[in-house]
Amino acid sequence: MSDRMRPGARRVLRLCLLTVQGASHLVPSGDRDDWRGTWEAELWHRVLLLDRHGRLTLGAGAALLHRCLGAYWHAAWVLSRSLAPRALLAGTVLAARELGAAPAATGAAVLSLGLALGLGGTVLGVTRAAWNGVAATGQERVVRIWNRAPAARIGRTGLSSLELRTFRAGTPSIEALAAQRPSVVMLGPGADASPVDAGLVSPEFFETLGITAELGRTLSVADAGGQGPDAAPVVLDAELWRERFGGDPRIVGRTVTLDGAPHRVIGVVSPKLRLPRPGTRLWLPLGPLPESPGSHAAGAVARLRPGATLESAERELNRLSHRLQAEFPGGYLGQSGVAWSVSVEPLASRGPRVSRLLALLAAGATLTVVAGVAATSSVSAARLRARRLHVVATVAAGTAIGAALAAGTLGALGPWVDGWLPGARMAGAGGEAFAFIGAGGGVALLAHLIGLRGPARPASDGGRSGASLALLVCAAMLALGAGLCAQGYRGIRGDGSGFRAEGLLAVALGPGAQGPAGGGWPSAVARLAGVETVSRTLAPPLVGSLSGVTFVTDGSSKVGDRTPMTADVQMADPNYFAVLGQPITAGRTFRSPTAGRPTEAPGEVVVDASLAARFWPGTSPVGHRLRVVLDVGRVTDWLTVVGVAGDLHGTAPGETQAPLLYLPLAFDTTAATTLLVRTRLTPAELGAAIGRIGAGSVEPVDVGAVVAARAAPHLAATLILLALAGIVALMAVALRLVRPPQPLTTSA
Amino acid sequence: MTRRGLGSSTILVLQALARGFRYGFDVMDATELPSGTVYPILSKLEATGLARSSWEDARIARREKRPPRRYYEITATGAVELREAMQRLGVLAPRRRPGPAGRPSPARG
Repeated sequence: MSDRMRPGARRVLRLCLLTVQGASHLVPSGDRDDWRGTWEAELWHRVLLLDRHGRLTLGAGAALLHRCLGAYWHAAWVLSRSLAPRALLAGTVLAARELGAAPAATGAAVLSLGLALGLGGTVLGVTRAAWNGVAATGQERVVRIWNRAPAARIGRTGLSSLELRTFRAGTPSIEALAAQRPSVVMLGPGADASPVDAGLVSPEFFETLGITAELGRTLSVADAGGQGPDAAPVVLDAELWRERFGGDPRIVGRTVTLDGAPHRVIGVVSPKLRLPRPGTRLWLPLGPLPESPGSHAAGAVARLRPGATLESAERELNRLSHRLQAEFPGGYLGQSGVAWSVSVEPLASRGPRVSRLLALLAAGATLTVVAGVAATSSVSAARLRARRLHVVATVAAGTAIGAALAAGTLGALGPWVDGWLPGARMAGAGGEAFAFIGAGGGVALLAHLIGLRGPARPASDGGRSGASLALLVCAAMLALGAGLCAQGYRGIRGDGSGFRAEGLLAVALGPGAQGPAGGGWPSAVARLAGVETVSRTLAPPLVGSLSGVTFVTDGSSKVGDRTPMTADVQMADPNYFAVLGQPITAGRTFRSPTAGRPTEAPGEVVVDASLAARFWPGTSPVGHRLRVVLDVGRVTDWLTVVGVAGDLHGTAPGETQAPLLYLPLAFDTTAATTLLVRTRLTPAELGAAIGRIGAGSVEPVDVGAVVAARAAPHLAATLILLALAGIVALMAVALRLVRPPQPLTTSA
Repeated sequence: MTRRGLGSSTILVLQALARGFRYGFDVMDATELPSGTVYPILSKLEATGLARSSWEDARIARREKRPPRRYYEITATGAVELREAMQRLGVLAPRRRPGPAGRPSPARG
């Protein structure tokens, strides 16, 4: 500032110049220098003049500052003029010329932004879908109730029927309570049957969750007692109704085949219902539960009364639970000072594993978009100075590409998301993904416009390197995701499931099927041409077993002396492990029943590796003993552990099979027979062969095909993520290789 | 901006230019119009050929140790338009005697 200026004048001038400088940001960069020069020159002259004549009073300074505020109006007017149709047309022509002059740079900017927004929107859409929980009215008051024994390291387990009745009647904080148990049923007739996750629920289930049927009705009390208008009712999930029944508007009243028996469809409910477990597609009446207080028969969901809290409900439930435990000490199998406690959790809560995964996905979406914005800013802003319209067109094109990419990817991923994330539901997630993309485009536009400020300068190598590195990080994250999905795929296919699924057929023979003389069905089927080996079992692997069965050890378990424990139970003949190809890692399989006494079960049991590691860590369980509570009044004698079998693996990411006990088939009182047949024959050929030896019409199920179908989503996800990783990596390389030309020096 | 139907503010600005007020702040003083009105009008006049702008001699600015100012002059076309507009209005704006270049009258902030 001028040396002749007094301090007060300098302050006034500085303040006025600052005011005008703020307004200059509104002026298009091409006009900005002239505009500022005009205003600043006038301010300089006026302040010098007033100061020279001693007339720069406070009032004069205020008036001058007031005049400077008009600069904002002037700047806005200049900006509006630049957006006039003629100016826009001229800008468009200029932008088109620049596009032709630098197609690689502009293309890289558009594609990288589009890819970043598309990926970010897709990831956000999937993340949001995972948070779509049960669509229940008043969902915030719906809770799950579990039994735990933390001192015995027993986590969530179900409730007994006695507890369910007692809690339902005696908890003031609870408005309604329902029982639920997961199951699997074969839906469809014969060879077309496929396993479907099902829920066995008490009649209050849907009312407790506040769910009404979209078509027909849900289960009622009459259905549980078998007195209802529909024998064997079933409620379908809306997506299952659309996928398997073509959205037939006449589905209510239609008969469907479940486990070979006819069931009548009474209603269709929202596809967002994911209880008793994610992936449940239909619901059946639960039926009577075992009365043993120690049998953790079913899980429970409840609705809290308005005003009740989780803490009050938990307090009341534990008071009742402790009273029951005191009344029935034997029923809780000698807990010896280890008390069961009841925990209440909000329905919408998710385990820490899923929460971490979702947080990682959300962070990945944000990082992807930031990388894309950085990439395009680096390429286009440095090159496209003073071309605001071109920047707008670039960002608009990139945003459109991103929206199209997200739409296509979410649409393709929709059917597979259920298999990836528990409780995920794609419906409704797309809108938020597109909003995210729109916001990302806005951020990109703002970044570009800010980048247009200031004098033109050559493209920054440092900026391009940074953006390229950010894109490589995104590519690495995508590749990591592909690796996780590939791991899930390998874990399901082939021996990764824990057994050899290919060439294994399952045949359900129905109750009381003893078979021909001379060894029964297993022997008869084993003699058929093309059949290698046969085993008889309760249910095929990964499809069915007795769940949540309590057992107690002889004190050798590390978790405590005579502490009750739970596991799933599979019953099979001694051939089971050999037919499945499931390894026995220690000891042996159990003996065959004594000749002449086929129903007398040998006092032996096989445990799986997970159960052995949990209850006998670091030692072998072979030779130790345990007792199993199969049902009311059915407690086995002490059984000797004779072998350890390899674990079976789940079919969804992170899902694990519960610890398994394998009991001799003589303990099976369900009177149903399932044969597992290792054969080269197709299901149709085997069915015909078995039919010819007197079994009637049977329809074997290809276990290998079932496992393959469950693995397919993982393969699709792996390929998609790998492709996206490759594209992003190519963009990163292109960003480094493509050198944008020097910026123009003339203004628009 | 069309050649016909000049607004009253535009007429005032043209009058100020015609009477020798050349610089933006001086025109504001003469017309008593706000700064956010005067400069857009000056730009419109320049765009339609009724006025033209230039930067003052850099030597003058250097001598006074300030940036060169932008000054406006009415063109012949602008003078004709002003005359016609005044005839249509039939109103004579109050005359203000222009002071020496750069010296406003009356003094304003």
